[in-house]
Amino acid sequence: MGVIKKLPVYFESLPGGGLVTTVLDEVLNYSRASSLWYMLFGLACCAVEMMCTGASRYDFDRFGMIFRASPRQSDLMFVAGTLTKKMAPRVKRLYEQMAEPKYVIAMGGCAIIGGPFYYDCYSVVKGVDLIIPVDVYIPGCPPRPESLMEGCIKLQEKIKKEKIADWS
Amino acid sequence: MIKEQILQAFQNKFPQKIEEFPFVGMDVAFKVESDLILEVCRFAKETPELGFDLLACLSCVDYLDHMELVYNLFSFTHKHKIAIKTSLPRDGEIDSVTPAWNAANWHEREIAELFGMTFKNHPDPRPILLPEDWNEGYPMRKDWEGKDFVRLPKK
Amino acid sequence: MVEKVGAEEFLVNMGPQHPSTHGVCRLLLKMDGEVIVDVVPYVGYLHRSMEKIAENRTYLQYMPLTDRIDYVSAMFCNHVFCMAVEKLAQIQVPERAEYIRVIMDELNRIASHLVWLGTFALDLGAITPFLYCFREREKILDLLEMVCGQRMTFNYMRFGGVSRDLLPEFIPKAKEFVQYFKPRVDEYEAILTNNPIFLGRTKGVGILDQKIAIDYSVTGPNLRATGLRWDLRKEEPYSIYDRFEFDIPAGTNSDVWDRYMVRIQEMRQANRIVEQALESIPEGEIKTKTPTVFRPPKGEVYARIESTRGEMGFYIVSDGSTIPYRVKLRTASFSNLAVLPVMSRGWKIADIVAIFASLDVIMPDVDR
Repeated sequence: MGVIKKLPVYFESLPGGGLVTTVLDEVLNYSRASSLWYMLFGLACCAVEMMCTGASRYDFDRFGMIFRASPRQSDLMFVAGTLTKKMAPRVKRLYEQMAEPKYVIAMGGCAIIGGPFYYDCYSVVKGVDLIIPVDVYIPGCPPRPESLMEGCIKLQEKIKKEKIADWS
Repeated sequence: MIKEQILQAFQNKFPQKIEEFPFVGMDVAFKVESDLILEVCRFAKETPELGFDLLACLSCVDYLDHMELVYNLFSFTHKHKIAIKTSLPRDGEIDSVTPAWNAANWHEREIAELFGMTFKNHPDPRPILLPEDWNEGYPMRKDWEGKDFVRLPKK
Repeated sequence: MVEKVGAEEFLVNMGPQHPSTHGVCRLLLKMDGEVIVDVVPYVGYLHRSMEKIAENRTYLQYMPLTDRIDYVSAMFCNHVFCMAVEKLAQIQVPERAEYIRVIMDELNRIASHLVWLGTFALDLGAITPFLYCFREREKILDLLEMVCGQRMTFNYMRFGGVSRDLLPEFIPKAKEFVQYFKPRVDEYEAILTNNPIFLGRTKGVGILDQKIAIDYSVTGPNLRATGLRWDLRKEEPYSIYDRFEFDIPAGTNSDVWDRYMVRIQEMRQANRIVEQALESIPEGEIKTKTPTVFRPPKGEVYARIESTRGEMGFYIVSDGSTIPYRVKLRTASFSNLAVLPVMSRGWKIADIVAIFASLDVIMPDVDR
């Protein structure tokens, strides 16, 4: 396993090896970004907007994104809704059950910083990035389906900038 | 039944223990003492002329030196509505009204864990809404402070 | 009841993240083979302390938070909060505002039942109704967005009326929607109602006795499916519902199929009410003037409304200042969920998905 991880570094040191890693980069990133399967993890109000985005008028399937029920079969987790202290250990467990490479999108005000429940609330975790690492933040309460699609496109752009030389 | 008849029926059965007070939205509202609450509720439910079979709402209000429990009762057959109130000291005990309406089960569990009241003879006294490892007190009390509890700043 | 597990029984956890728990609800199933012996619901995964927040906000600052109690039918939550405060402060609402409130309420009732129908059919394996229902729901959300600018959490009603008047193009578009929607309900029925798989999974399953339902304070379509024709819009008419003609559907066997039929009929009746209200809406003011610093008089009030899931009530204690002393929310799903263990003993694990979906429970309504 360790040898395969060091392979890109060996390639780069060969003459002309940089070209191979760049082409490999592009192919891998393109295939990952065009087929992100997301896990249905709606907690509260933003979940209904997520369902609407996956339904008839705004369609997620045209981006290659299909919903999966199990964390083992998905690459992307939308944390849509308020995270409470009772639910936080379960979110961490679900995140750890997802296989690499995995991405997280924090959707809505509650997942970013606690939203309208920041003040005077004893049971809300003020932001999901206190528990798991987040890639893209989408503001709104709830964000419109167009914002959600813009957030997914930003995530696709972020994936396309990854390099396999960073693996080791 | 009209308002005066309802009040009369309760006053006949429990003389000197019923004290009326104003409540917008209900036909009649009165206070009783906390040790009589189960009998009053059973009487309200089982008497055919009163027939209060719906316990809509069981709430607890914290008045700093004492707490009050408010029962909102409605009737499907006669379409009248009353509210019953009792007053208790802060860490007090009261009978559970689950023998009268099973709906009170979950309402009383919530009040017990958020306000700190004890309900005697409750069939299932487990916490319901807060996390299992909560040990920071009773959050709905007026004088509760918690570690990451941020208040909205006043302008 | 969890500790006493018999020799051949085992515990299965339908955890907080599960596609058919409609939100974050955990069900612990005690099973004997494939038959369910007991169900223990664990709630509280979405407890956002709405009642504690109310003790530090003015009345108007609390209005956007009432939307988040039941987000699929947010107009009802706004409406009942306004009703409670208007009763306490004795504010009159003008005619046009009442008509607008009724139209918004009933459109929201149709939208909420469409979400329920889509997810209910999805749980039982039918994916097509999900896409059809959301197509209609988008049209309703367009209408609601035309009025107040938001698709889901509206913050539209104010004490004494509503916040904005209808645009001139709203009424023709709404009349067009009403005519468009009538054959759609027939389309959903054509897919589901006489389908042998659907009938096999829902007829005779999950029977709820009427006495048990009343004992557990079950209200709404679940209670009407047991045979009791009780609807607050007819029994204690609030707002201007006594001016419209509509029927109250009720079931006979009180199984999952009856709860489905009651909600389908309610969609038709809500469409009827919107049609009548659009014909007879008068011109006029949309809000009575209230003071900028709003201080209702000292006292207590309880107001209730027939929301999509059942009876929703607000109990407000006011001490005469701009901030309420105590706000208690009586939500329909809290009592509806408590009756789940009674209804599901003896059925198989595939039936519990159908029974749970037919109760139409939404988790922030339970946990607040």
